[in-house]
Amino acid sequence: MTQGVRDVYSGGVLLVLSIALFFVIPGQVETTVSDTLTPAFVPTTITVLIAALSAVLLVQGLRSRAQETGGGNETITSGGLGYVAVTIGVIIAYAAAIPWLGYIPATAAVLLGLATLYGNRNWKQIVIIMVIAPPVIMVFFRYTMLVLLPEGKLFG
Amino acid sequence: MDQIFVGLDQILTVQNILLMIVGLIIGIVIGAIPGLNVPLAVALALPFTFKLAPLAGLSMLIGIYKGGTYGGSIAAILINVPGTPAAAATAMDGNALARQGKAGKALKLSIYASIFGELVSDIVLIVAASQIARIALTFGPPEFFALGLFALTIIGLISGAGLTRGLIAGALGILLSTVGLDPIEGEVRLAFGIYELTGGLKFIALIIGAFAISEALVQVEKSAARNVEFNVLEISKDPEDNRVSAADFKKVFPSMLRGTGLGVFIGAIPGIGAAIAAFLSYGVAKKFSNEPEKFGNGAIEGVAASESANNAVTGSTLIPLLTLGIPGDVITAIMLGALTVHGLIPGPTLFQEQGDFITALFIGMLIVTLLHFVIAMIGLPLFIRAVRVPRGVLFPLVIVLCVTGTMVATGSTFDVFVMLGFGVLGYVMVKFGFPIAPMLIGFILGPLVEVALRQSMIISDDSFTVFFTRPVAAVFMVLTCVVVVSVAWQRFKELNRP
Repeated sequence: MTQGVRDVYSGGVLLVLSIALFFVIPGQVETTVSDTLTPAFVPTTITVLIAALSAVLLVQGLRSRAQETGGGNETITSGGLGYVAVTIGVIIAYAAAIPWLGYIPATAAVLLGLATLYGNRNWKQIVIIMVIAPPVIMVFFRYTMLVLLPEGKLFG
Repeated sequence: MDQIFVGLDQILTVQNILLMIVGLIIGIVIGAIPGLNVPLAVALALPFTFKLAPLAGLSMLIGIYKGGTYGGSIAAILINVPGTPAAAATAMDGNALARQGKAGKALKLSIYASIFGELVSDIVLIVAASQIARIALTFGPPEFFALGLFALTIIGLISGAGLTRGLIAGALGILLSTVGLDPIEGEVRLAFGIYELTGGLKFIALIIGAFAISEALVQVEKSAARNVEFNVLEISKDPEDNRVSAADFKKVFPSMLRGTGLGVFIGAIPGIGAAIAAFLSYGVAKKFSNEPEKFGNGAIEGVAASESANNAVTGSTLIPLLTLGIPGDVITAIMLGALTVHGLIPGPTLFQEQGDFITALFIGMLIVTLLHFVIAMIGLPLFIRAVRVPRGVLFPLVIVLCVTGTMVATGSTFDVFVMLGFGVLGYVMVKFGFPIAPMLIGFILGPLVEVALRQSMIISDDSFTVFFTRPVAAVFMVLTCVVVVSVAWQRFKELNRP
């Protein structure tokens, strides 16, 4: 996908979103009786600016669709997106699990999952990280930052 | 001269030196870990200083401050994950250099530039504190607005060919900064009925998510493509790629000098901060460079400019604190607490009544800078070794530290999800060619510019002339116009190039 095509997609989506937000803002910002610039002034102005810039991006993208214009050479693959989605899911599950499982078991489990996702197949290395890293981080936070990380509701 | 000897006698104790070293090491480690920031470390160290002599306690706090400000650059260079907001500017070229196998050069340059900035800043603090404090005091809302607006032009300077995308990213950052309570009237904005959002989006969640998590997602996607384990970076075997030569130093020196000047100036003005100094310096370095196209692709001037500026802030933030008793940021506010607990009230009288203490403190700052250089150079081989950590170990640990750091810094699981949201946004931005740094600049400067604009309108009865009738504000407005016209002209020339 060339940068021009990406600009068309991103410009189009941002234009639609900013127009939608323009109409949403009045309902999302409590009104005041202020004579001077109101709390809605900056969000509204910036939304209009984003809409205008998105329109410019869309036009630029349509003009240069056939050629690469620079500004990013990242590729998007469906297999890669699957990995990204799974990683996001793992992070969500990790954040949600910490209060229940406790920091050490949840961190050990997430390290196993993430190391596998990142292509690590050195099981000895993974086990060492799983065993050493969570307690070291916990001790660091407890004694250096004076913060107690959750020990888990499930285990009392 | 006698006062200098008295100061030396007070500061040169084993306890003080050890506390400086401990402070520096803690600062560097915490600065390097995404999510753990310098104010947090200084705040946590504060209770320890109560039992120490004021000089000993402040020495440790200054060590943490200086070490932490530098430490942010390590992860920024090695894995494109800025440990501190100010290091985000360093990441742009530092990580590009590291990807070219020049991690050693980038890390060394960041040390030299940081130490240079600190040293000059300390000297300025010692020599010209009261004069600079007087200039800083002339800043009111119109001056802050004009300075903020000028700083926003950095977006245009750093966006390069993708100017429209850079401007959109900057505007998005400003928009995101408006979520939560309105800073003037206290009205809730754009919270969409979510209680947790009424307090606004946390800066820490943005920086960790948009930089660290997005990078982690980009890397996991690469794992899928290659399906094999490989290191994040390789080190070039050419020794020239991993040292800073005299030619390199000559090339970066003007950027370092300008960056240091900007850092000292910005640091002396309460409420601006190291991140803006770093980005401003980066933008100016690019503007003055003969090879602006190299910026973002491994320009050594970029690393030197941002690092010298963010570390130059560390000395000058103490100028308004010590001379006027005005803390310019969270860190100096905590230091104010450390001083007042011991019955030392900062302000002009402190210099008259506690001359020996001030002299010892100034000498202590210079010693901390010297120790900083030694510790950073000793740690350098260790940092470079981190490059050899396999990606399948490094990024899982980075993600764990990001989640833990956000949880600890914000005390909320909700903010971990916000951080993840910013991570996804950052990933999408990378994929569609949008630079992330302008979003960060917009997010930092948005509240400053908005508050200053609205306050200016209130004090001037809605007259925009207030920005042109006050000399300092007028200078920044003119500079803003010059940069905008210059960027537009450059863009026009690029578009019309055959």
